[in-house]
Amino acid sequence: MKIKIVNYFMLHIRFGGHLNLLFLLFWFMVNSSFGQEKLLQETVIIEKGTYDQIDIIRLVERQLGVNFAYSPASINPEKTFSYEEGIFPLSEILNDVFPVSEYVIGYKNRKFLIKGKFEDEQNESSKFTISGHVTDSLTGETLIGANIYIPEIKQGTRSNPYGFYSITLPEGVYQLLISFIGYERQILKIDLHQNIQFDFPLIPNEQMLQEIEVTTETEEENQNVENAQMSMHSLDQKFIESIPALVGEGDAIKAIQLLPGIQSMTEGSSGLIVRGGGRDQNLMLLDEAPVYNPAHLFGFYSVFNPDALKDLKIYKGAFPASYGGRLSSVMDVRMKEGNNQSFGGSGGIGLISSRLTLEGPLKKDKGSFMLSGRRTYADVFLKLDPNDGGNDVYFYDLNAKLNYKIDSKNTVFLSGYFGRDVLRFFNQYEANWGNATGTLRWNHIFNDRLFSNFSLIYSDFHYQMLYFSEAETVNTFSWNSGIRDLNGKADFTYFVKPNLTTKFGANVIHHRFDPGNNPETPDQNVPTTNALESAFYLANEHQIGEKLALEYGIRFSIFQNIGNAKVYQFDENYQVTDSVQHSGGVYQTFSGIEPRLNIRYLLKDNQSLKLSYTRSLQYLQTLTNASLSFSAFDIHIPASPNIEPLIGDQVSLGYFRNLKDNQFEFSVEAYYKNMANVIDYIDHASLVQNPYLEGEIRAGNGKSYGLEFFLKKNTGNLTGWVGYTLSKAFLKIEAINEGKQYNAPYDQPYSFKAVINYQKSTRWQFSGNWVYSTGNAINLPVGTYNYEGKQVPIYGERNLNRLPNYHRLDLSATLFAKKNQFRKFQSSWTFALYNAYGRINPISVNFLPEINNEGKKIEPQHIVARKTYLFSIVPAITYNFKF
Amino acid sequence: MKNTISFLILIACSVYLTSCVDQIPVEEFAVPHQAKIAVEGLITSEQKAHTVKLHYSTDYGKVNQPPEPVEKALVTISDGQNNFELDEVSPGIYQTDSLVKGGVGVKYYLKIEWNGEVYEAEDEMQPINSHEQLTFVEEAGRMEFPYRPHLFGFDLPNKYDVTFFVPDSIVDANPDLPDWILQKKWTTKTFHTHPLMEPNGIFEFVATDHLIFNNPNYWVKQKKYSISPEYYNFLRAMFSETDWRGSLLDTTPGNVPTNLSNGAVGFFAACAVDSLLYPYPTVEK
Repeated sequence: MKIKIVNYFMLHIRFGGHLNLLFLLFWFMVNSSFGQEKLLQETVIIEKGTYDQIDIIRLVERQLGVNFAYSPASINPEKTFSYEEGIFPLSEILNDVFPVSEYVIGYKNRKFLIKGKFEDEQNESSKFTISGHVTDSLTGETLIGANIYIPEIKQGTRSNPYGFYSITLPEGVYQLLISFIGYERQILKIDLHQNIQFDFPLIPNEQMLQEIEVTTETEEENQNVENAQMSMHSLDQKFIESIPALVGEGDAIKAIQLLPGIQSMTEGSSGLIVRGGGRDQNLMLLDEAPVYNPAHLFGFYSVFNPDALKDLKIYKGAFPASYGGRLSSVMDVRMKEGNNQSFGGSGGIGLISSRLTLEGPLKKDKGSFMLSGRRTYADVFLKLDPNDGGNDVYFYDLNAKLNYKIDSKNTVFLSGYFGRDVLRFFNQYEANWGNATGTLRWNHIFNDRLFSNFSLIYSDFHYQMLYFSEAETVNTFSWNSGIRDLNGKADFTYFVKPNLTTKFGANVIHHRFDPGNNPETPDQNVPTTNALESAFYLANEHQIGEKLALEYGIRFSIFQNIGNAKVYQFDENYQVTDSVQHSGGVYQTFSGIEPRLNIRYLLKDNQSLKLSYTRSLQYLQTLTNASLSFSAFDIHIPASPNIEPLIGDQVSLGYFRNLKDNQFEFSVEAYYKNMANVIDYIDHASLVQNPYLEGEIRAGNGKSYGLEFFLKKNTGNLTGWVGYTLSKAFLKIEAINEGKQYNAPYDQPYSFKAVINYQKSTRWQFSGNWVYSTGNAINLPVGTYNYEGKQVPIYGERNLNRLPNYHRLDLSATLFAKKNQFRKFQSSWTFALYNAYGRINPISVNFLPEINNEGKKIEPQHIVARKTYLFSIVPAITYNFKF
Repeated sequence: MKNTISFLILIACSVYLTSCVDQIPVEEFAVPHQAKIAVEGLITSEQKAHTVKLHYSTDYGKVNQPPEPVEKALVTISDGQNNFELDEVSPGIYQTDSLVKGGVGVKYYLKIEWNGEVYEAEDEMQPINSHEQLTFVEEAGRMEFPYRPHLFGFDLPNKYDVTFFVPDSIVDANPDLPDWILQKKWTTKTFHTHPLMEPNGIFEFVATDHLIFNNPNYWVKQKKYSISPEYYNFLRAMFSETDWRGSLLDTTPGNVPTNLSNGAVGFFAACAVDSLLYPYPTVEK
């Protein structure tokens, strides 16, 4: 009598022979116990009688203290076994009840896994799919990441970015639990004997309407522990709006900057520094369209209007294979689709700006629109002064989205963003900049298991700097720069089975780079270039057994410089030696394979270990003239014959644990990131009107590593998080700092962040956050000499000095008007204090002549250290409304 | 008025914020520094005594103290054929005799011997292609010169010294001239033209100083200096570290280049000079 029993390791090799080496190594790490054959010799007492397979399983479990896991589909309830009373070895029982010809049994640590040998083949024809969309019952808005869970198989799925879900199961009766935070949970019992399309309109939980949720947790799951994805945070609109903000309006970027591992370049900035990567290493997507500069008004506002947002995810590492093109982070922002049930709106009136959002059905249940705009009005007040000196400062932006459901298988979306900033000073200098994006999408459901999305995407960022020769409005000099993308994209999701989802897709981006031009001096223009960036990806989300989950994939990217272009050639001293005029076609190609892997191993129901490895290629980088980050003056340059693409490798290891029935999430993540071909420019480089710009650039390497602690409370009246980060970031670039390694300007060894939201009652909500971090690395002079009366500094090693440590407390209170069930109109007042205790946090230290209170130099000149800081206590009040 | 911070304050005011500056004594930032020889040398096409200043660089904490001069150095300027030895006329100040005159297109060499070390530099005197009178602007019936220390978008980099003055002959012939004219008898302004648009320079927000000398007695003396490419690299970097530092589009700090050897800092320049003299324009009645 022989029984075919393999340990889990063997079993998984059979299941997933295509898994890569890293997975096997990981599995060796977590499965070190072998040789448990003694267990099979243990005996079981069976009384006389007839038993089915489940009876036997329960009998063995009870007597031997073992556990069995099995798919309901593998159990045949019709099959019975007659036993005379006796004592039987376990191996004999298993061989009788689960014969080797029909079953494979794996075991480890007294836990058995039973799988029907021909289960897949046998059941494929008797499997059916339930699919559809999860939506908000009041607005029709699709819900991203809603959980669909089947207790019988302890597995489930999630709605994708378009609210679509699909799950394929053997014929049978199942219970479906559909949940999304802030909504009433739905329980549905289905008798699955044919493919079903079923939409779940979830009802907002009235009690939760004004509470703040920081993730989409449900009691059936603990996503933080179970999801293989790590290094990712998800924020929703309510949370973003609840955070005390600089000017009383919640801001997506400012909210993100409160997460561990993410920091701003300087106070007030909308630039992101993620795990020691540069500001240009973040892919910011608004409805899939890249946003190249997220800053409004020097970054005090970001371009992401919270009223128009539905969902925001930021990946600090462990990027899914569907994302590419940046090394350090992906921020995926989705706009609201609009209410397809009834017309409504929301808005706010603040001291600096106001905003209004309108939404409503194009045709009830079929389509909707959303229109959201903002405008500052400081310029209006400035113009009240007839002697305003020509100063001007304002921004506006507009988000718009349409969607229409053609039929159950086809939906189209059209969305866009347009924003503009203008800063004008003394009628002498002006900077204006803005982003414009457009996305046309078509969701097509090929069948119940194959979902697709096709997108056409446009993105443009450009800026203009104007310099007027005299106090006149005549433009005497201008400099224009920008980048424009056209992107075609196709993404497919194939829901193979409950524990396996396959994603694949491709995209082609046409980039047009305009590093800088002045129409009147074409000989000084930096050559405009074009490029094609293409990528293909294939990825699986794979649950293997109860403990192991994998997300693995591969991305192949190609970057080609194309079209008419003049390319300069440089010698070893970066002097121009020649130039080549390309007259079309491809003149340079880069390509690379970008493997992605996330592994989750469940230690206990509420604890897991996760490991990830990500390789990314970045084919465009940004030069900026400003050492401060609130600049629109960015120069986007592509990989080219003179500039290699940026290559990044990141490894992350994390421990995740949920506490008190998932009320608390805890995680600690360690990461190490290596970056090759990081560029910077030489000291005092000429970045404008310099056709030989590439000759000013030097390349090198960067590295960063860190440890991030994160504790978050998800539910209850008190929610929020605390995060603590230890990290280092270095650069080593030829000809900078004499070629020696130096602190990156954004190196921030210590950072502590706390975010708290307290719902006192249905009318009062209080929020606060406190930030403490090491001051930014700066370069202070060590010596000086005099030249023509000016004190010229001499610098030592780069970025060896620090600004003072940074800390700040922000507070806000929101008073909601009493609800009137007969009125749709709701309103609230938000009172906020930014930097509540008035901490002086300098953004720079410069050594300049002392000035008096009128800003005039004191004679004779006397050099002082000027610490410039932007904000003291900043109160704000905003009236918000919704109808 | 240098007004970089003003713009931040404008922004701050516009969002009712409170952008501010704390001024702290530099002594708090003092760190040890190994002194270098600093050179400020210039030879021009004018016939005069040309000067080379030598001093030691100092710790930044001592930036407000007079620099220590480098005395008793042997300083020579050469055009490749003639050597002009400079005399130390005061501590650290070395001059040629007053008959020396530089020539356009000639390369000049500076040699400093001090304490057993030799420091050398060279620069070629560039021509001045054209020289035109300043542009004056009529404003409310008066002529004014809109002055800024840096002007951008010109064909070539140049330095200008502009002096507004009342000639002695006019003062002598008009003994009743009011005091306010006599007090403003000499006003000299220096500015530089730059070929490129320097973002950090432009966004330094130096407001225009409207110079008005609304009196027919004034004259203008205008001197234009040529600047070699190497000298301009030095000046441009120096302005980035001085006049333009603290700008809204500030650049990453970096050491200013030099044309001096052996670890010395500063620059030895050769500049052609052209002068114009003309009466201050007035509005015709």
